[in-house]
Parts: sequence; C-alpha cells; structure tokens
Amino acid sequence: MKFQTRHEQNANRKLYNSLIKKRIVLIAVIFAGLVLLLLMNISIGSSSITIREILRVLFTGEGTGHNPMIIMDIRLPMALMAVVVGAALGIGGCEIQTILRNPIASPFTLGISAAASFGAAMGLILNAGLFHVPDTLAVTVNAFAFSLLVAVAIYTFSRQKHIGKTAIILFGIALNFLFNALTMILQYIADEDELQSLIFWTFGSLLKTTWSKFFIVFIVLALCFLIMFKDAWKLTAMTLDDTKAKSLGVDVAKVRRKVIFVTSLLSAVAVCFVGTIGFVGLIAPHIARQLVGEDQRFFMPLSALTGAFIMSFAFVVSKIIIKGVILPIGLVTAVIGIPFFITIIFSKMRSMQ
Amino acid sequence: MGKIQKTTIALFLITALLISLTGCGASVKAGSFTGTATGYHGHLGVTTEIGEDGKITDITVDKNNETEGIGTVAMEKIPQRIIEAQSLGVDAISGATLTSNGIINAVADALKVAGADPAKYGYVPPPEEEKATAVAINKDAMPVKQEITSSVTVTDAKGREVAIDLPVSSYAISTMDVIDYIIPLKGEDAFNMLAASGQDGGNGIQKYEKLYTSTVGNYMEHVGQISEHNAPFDLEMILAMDPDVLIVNSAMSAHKYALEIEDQLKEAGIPIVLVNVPGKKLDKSVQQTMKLLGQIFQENEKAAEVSAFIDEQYALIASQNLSQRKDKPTVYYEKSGYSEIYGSTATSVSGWGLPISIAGGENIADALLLDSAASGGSGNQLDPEYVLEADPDYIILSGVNDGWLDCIKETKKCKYDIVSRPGWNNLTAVKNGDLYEFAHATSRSIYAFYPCLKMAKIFYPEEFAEVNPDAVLDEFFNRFMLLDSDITTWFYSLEDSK
Repeated sequence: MKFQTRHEQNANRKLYNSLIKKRIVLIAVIFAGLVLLLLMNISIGSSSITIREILRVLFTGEGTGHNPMIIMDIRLPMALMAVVVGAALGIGGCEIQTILRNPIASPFTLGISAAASFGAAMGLILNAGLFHVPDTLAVTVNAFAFSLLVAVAIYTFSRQKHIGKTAIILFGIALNFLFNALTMILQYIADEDELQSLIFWTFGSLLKTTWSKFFIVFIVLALCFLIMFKDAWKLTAMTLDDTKAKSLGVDVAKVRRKVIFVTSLLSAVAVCFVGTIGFVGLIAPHIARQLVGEDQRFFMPLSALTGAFIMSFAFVVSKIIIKGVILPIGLVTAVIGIPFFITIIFSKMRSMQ
Repeated sequence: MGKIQKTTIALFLITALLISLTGCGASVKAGSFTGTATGYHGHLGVTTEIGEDGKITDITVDKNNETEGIGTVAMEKIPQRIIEAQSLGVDAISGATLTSNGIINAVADALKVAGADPAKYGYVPPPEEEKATAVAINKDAMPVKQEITSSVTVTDAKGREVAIDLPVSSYAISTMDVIDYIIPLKGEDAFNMLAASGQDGGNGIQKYEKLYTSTVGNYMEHVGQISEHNAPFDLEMILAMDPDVLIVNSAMSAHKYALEIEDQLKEAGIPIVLVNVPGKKLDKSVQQTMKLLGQIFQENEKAAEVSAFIDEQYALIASQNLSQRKDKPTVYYEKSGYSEIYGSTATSVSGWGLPISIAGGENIADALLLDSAASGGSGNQLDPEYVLEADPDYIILSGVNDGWLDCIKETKKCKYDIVSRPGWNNLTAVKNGDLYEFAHATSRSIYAFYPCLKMAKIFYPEEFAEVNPDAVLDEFFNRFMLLDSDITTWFYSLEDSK
C-alpha cells in the first residue's frame, strides 16, 4: 500500500469538506423551498382571504369574521401536517429501503397502509371500534391499532433466526394481500354510503387535521428521528451487504429489528390520521439518494425534507387543480408520483443493484 | 406592376364590394317570414308576421313533432309572450325548456330573413356550451345578519339539545335537497338566506340552480359549497360563509362528518342541527323535521300546516290497515341495476324499503337480509336465483333511468335493460308489466308521501280507487312550493319504455 503524502491528504480533506458543504447547501435550498410551499399552503384555501389579511392574522392574531380561526386553526395545522406526514413517510421509506436493501420497500409494501385501511373499514362499515372510544375517533383508533398490529407482526417475524431481508419483504407483501382481501370483504357487504366514506378515507386527506393530531405526529416524528439518527453510521454501514456491515461491527439483525419497529410506528401514526398516502415513502428516498448518496447523516434528513416537500407540493396542487375543491391529497401524490417512479426505474435504479 | 400586386388589388376591390352589398339589405321588411330552429324533436318551423313599424304581430308554430302536453303549452304560451313583450327575451316554460328555446330561436331566424337584427328584439343567441364555471361568491350579496333578539333550544333528530340564536338570518345545509323542507316555511327567502350547501351524487347544487334561479334570482352568488359528494365537510368554507346554523341530513354519512367538526363550529358560534329523513319511521320523519325547522325559522304554523297535509296522506294509507293483511303482494326492490350488474336492494327498515312497507308490500329481501346484513339490514345484493325463486308480484326500481330533477319528458326515453336478465321475462311482475321506477331521491325528500301513496294504489287498486296520488302531489306543490310538480319525472312504468 502506498502511503499518501501530506499534500494528498490535505487535498482529500478539502474534497470531502467541499462535498459536505455542497450537501448542506442543498439541504438548505430544499428547506427554503419547503418554507415557501408552507407559506403557499397557508395562503391558499377555499375561502378567498387576501394576503394582507393573512399576514395580519399571522402576526397579530386578529382579523375580520372567522378569518383568524380559518388561518390559525384550519390552514396552519393542515399545512404543517403535510410537512410532518411527508417527513414521516420519507424517513419511513428511507430506512426501510436501507435496512432491507430493496428499492421498492416502503411502509406501503410491508402492508402497514393496507392494515390501516382495514381498521378504518371496520370502523366505517361495521361501526365497530376496537376500544371504547367516541364514534368520531373510532376510525382513527382502529386504523392505528391495525397498522401497529402489522408492525408488531413484522417485528416478531424478523426476530426469528434465519430470517433474511427478502423473507421480511415477502411476509409484508403477504400481509398486504391479506388485509386487502379482508377490506374487500367488508366493502362487499357495505352499503353505498359507507363504501364511499371508505373510498374517501383510502384516498388520504388532510382535511381532518387538528392541532392535537398534528402535535401527536410531530412528537412521534421527532422521537423516531432522534432514535434512528443516533444509528446513522450503523445504517450507512448497512447499505453494504450484511457480511460487510457485520465486519464493521454492526449488529445487523438488531438494527434491522429496531428500525422496522420504529418506522412502522412512524408510518402507523402518520397513516391513521390522514389515510393512506402512497408513493411519498417510495419516491422521497430515491430523490434524496440521487442528491446526497447513501450517507445517512444527509440521506435521512434529506429524505424527510424531500417527503415534506413532495407532500406540501401535492397539497398546493390538490387545492388549486379544481377551484373551490380540495382534492384528496393521496390522489395527487399518486398521480405526480408514478411518472417520477417510472423515471427512476428506467434511469437510476442501477444504484440500488 | 407585378402579378401579385394586381391580384391583391383585385381581391381588395372584391372584398370592398361584398361589404358594401351586405350593408344594403339592412332595413326591416314587413310581411310574413318563416324561420326554423332545432326543437326537442327535430326541426321546428315558425311563421312570423312583421308589421310596417317592425313590430311582431303574429307567430304561428308550424306542424312539428314536439311532445304532446307540456310541449304544446310552450307552443301556445311562448308566441303569446313574445308578442306581448315585443321581445325574444322571454322566460321558457319550465319542463319544456328545449321546445321553448326552439321557438324563440326560430322566431329569431325569421327576423333575420326579414332583414332585422334579432338582438334588437332582446335575442340572446344560445351559448355554444353550457358554462361550467361556478358563480363566484360575492361577499356583498351575503344574507344580512339581523340583530339577535332571542334564542330557542331544539331537540334534534339524534336527541341532542341545540341552542340557536333567533332570528336565523342565514343557514347552511348538508345537501341541496334539504332546502325543499325550508321552501314551504320561507318561500323565496329560503334561497335568499342560504349561505352554503354540500354536494350530492347527482350534482344537486347545479340542478337546483338551473331550476330556481329564473324564479328567485341569482342566489348562487352567496352560496358556498361546503362538501363534496359523501365527503367530510370543508370546515374553512363553512367558517367563511358563516351561517347562523348548519342543518345536516343523515344521508351519506353526513351526521358523522358533521359531528367530527362540531367542536370547531361551536367555537365559531355555528350550531349543528341533525335532521333525519327518512328516519326509521318514514311516515313520521318528515313531520318531525318540519317541526324542528319550524322552531328554527320561527314558522311553527306553516310547519304545522305542511305536517298536517302529510299526516293526512299517511292516515289515508293507514286507514286501510295494510300491515294486517294476509294477502300482501310480494315486492322486490333494486337500485341502479341493469341486466349485467345487480344493484343493491333494501329491506323494510331502510331507504326505499320504507315506502314499500308502508304501502303494504311484502319485501322479499326481508327474509334473507333483515337479521343478517352488516348495517341494520340495508344495502345488499340478493342472489339472482333467489329473486327468480321468489317470483315477486311487483318490482320497484330507483336510480335506473334519469336522475332526480332531470325531467325525462324533455330528455330521453326510459329504458329497462334490467328485464333482459336471464329468466326475468318469465317473472310474474315483468309479464304483467308490474315493474315500476321512482325518481331515486324521492324517498328521502319532503315528497316521500308520493311513492307511498302511488305504491299503495298500485298494490291495492280497489282500496285506493278514489285516491289520485299525482293530484295530491300537484296540490302539495301548489300550496307549499315555489315551482310546479314538473321538476322531475316522479314515476315511470315498464309501459313508458315501449
């Protein structure tokens, strides 16, 4: 092995530093974009309120009629909810893809969303709540309980010895099919009104956001992010194959179990309040990976940022595409997500091979 | 001079000549002129007499294929109106819009033949396409809030105590059809006070706009849409429209969606009143709703009057003791079915099953679904074999042909593809022509007494020989509503499709 000269070491250090700097700038730019989208989301809505009025309400808390309530209690939590849900889905997708080394893995693929839909369907169609909660909360609580059930099932499954990453994905897909079939049985016996409500739920919508729901998602997101960010180096190592990661001293099985549990919890919380929102968890990590590579110190936050960015963007689109109508956001993310996904498959998928 | 220049000059001269020629024939000629336009059934010709002073003196509609009855009314009234007003800007006959517009267009055509400009007679050419854009909300047109003088506490359909400040100056409704309960109380003010409505599956907001704007003016400029079909309410829109009360009917999970936002609305001082039509007892739920709305709108007497009328109709049916009869005819109900797809049915405790049971029909769905179905026995499909086996005496449909408020007389012929199902030609009901359809939304409308009466008369013709359900309906419209009963086709039979 040839030793590097001091001069070469300095050059490498410089290169590394400039790379890091670039990434920080990139993250800052996307963050700025996100803030812009957030402001747009606060200013667009079904009632026409002028920008001046919005600023007045935001800074003084006072305004004419119900405007303060519209802005502070409806638009603001909804706009922020788009950010945290997008970030949660982005991180969820990013980490599941990392630990399973599979480019199509996401909370969706593992059946978490399907289970949430089934829980919601139980609440909407059978009017059955799992716990004794008020009617208006039954759907949310059911959705959460079932997605958590799947999370625990996957976790238990992954605890067994000799269970590899492929087996985990296959198990997730099996659960996905199971819960889809169960939901379809409920759909079959449902009457039209209930069916419509369920379809609406599965579209995903931010309309029901309240401050308390936002804070729940926000706190869970913050905790999960911190837990996983601590393992950033281990997770980066796990982008190599298992044996190499092990040789670097990473307890692969343990990290995998932990991350599966944390991301499932994260997705369950996000999904139960806003319904199933597809593709954000799948695309956001792919875009982030193209921009900063697999280094988790940047990959993880950027996935979150990208997810939040996509969600906020989709929310803006969902509000302006038809005047006076807020399209369910899940539809928008699917429609703008699919072309993205196809592009990724055709051009960039090599990086995951 | 080049060849191209010569050609250009020649073309210019020809164009100038043509322009000057068209200018020559601009004066109105007196005499008799014929014009044509498209009516409801093909071409419509009119002969228009124009006097020396350019006045329209006579209009005769030529022989045509327009519909007997309502179309004929248009042919008599529209020319009369045009001559009286000396204007083509007259209102169409409701229910015969296409025939009315056809006549107006034909007269405009005749005026052109006479060398007159139809626009001078107030003629507005038909728009290329129906404008799809919604009327923009005009904040200045919003109902003016009156000073609160008192308050009332009502018990709504779910037994909730709701306090409402009086007088109510503006209100919002979960779907547009709820306004039919408010029209008898407030008349045109029902529209003037309307601040917002939710949408239903049949674009009710636009249908009511089409039906009522000519009568009550452009009320849509102060009406916001607060929900999509069967979707959660748009809280922001409700707050922006700021109604004094939100009235929510039970259809399409609206009760559930309303209660989800109740806390926020309470904070904004907007109470929610839940009404329930059809409730578990159809023969009572309309009256209960009227009573509730009577209290809210301080029109108790009018509400009582409407209730009395409806009570009378149900009492008429009840007087025959149909529920005690042993010889009840068997009935199969289906929604939106056609030959290849079976629609859902309803048992005696829900939706269209309610009028069937009030009218003394034996619902064949009851035996199978009443105890077993998921949601209280409603909304399930029956096994096709079971329907054949049961061989019902009557088949009642809804949602097969034109929808609620789409008057079939002026649109298309009704069809019953459903009878092409395997084995259906041998069903007693089909053989006897006892297959009927009611306009779908009727069962949860204020007019629900009509299908009850009509079905009772169909099932028990002797007992109800004296009753004329259509006349009762007409009377209801004359006494309580703003328009005539021709707003929709209420009833079709298998005969109508032949």
